[in-house]
Amino acid sequence: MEDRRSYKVVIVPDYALNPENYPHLPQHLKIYEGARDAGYGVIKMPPTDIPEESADEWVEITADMIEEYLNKGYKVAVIAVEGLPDKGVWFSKLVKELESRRTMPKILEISRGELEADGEQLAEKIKTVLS
Amino acid sequence: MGEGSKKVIFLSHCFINQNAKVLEFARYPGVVAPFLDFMKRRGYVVEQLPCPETLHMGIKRWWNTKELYDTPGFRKHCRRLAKHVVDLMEHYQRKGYDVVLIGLDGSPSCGVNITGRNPNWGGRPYASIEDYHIVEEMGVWMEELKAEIERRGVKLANMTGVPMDDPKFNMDESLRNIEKLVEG
Repeated sequence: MEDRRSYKVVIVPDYALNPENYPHLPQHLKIYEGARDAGYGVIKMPPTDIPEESADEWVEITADMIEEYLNKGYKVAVIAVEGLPDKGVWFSKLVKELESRRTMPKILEISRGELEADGEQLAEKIKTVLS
Repeated sequence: MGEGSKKVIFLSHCFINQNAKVLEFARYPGVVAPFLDFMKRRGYVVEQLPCPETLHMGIKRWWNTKELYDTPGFRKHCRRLAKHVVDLMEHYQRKGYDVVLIGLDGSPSCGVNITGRNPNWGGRPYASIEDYHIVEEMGVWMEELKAEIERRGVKLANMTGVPMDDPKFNMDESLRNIEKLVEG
């Protein structure tokens, strides 16, 4: 059977799929839609209000996935969003963990202004990060 | 499940990331778009389970049967993941959400209603899809996750599987079934 995988994966904050959990931010799915339309597989981080010790485990699990994909030649990016605690992806811990493993995906930072602007620019930014 | 109640759907990892599929089984480039778009149109919060197969055996793993994953080491790995998933289920339950779990039917780890067995698989790599025998059982990951859910007393509103790896799979029919199941 034909395997249609893209070999491209993005790590996204919970906000990207569940904006209703973050009423202070724009209520749209533009990050999800950008990743979907670019053909990326999505690894979603948990909600940002989970306990710290639980978050540590999710960061480790996510770092394991990133390391495995990069080792096998897949393209990987982390999408970090301004306005979320530690950019919605436990950015400091995740980067520290990945640095300790000597591996690093691309990082795509999205500002509050970009979230509020026309979706086309945001979609293009997401599409080109792993092109 | 109450009409109008908030719902969180815990989905098997590969519905949102087809790059985690065992080779030959990715039907979409990344996200299973009709599935996720349906979830968001219905207003469901979506959570993604970790993929125990990719985490344990990697992305270039061979095809496996339930027997090959049914080991103390893989079950221990699943129990570690299950603890964090059920923490998250409790997190949503405390906020008043109904929790629904949707696995991947037919998978040796993620199957809910059906999985695949063959006692002869093992040793020198050789596998034919015809030799993957579908049986009415859960996969190993779902067995361990269900055990943790029950041990912690988390009440699931529903639990089912979607047979996306079946060549006869019908997405529209599957989405109708899920809507009935989730909305009651």
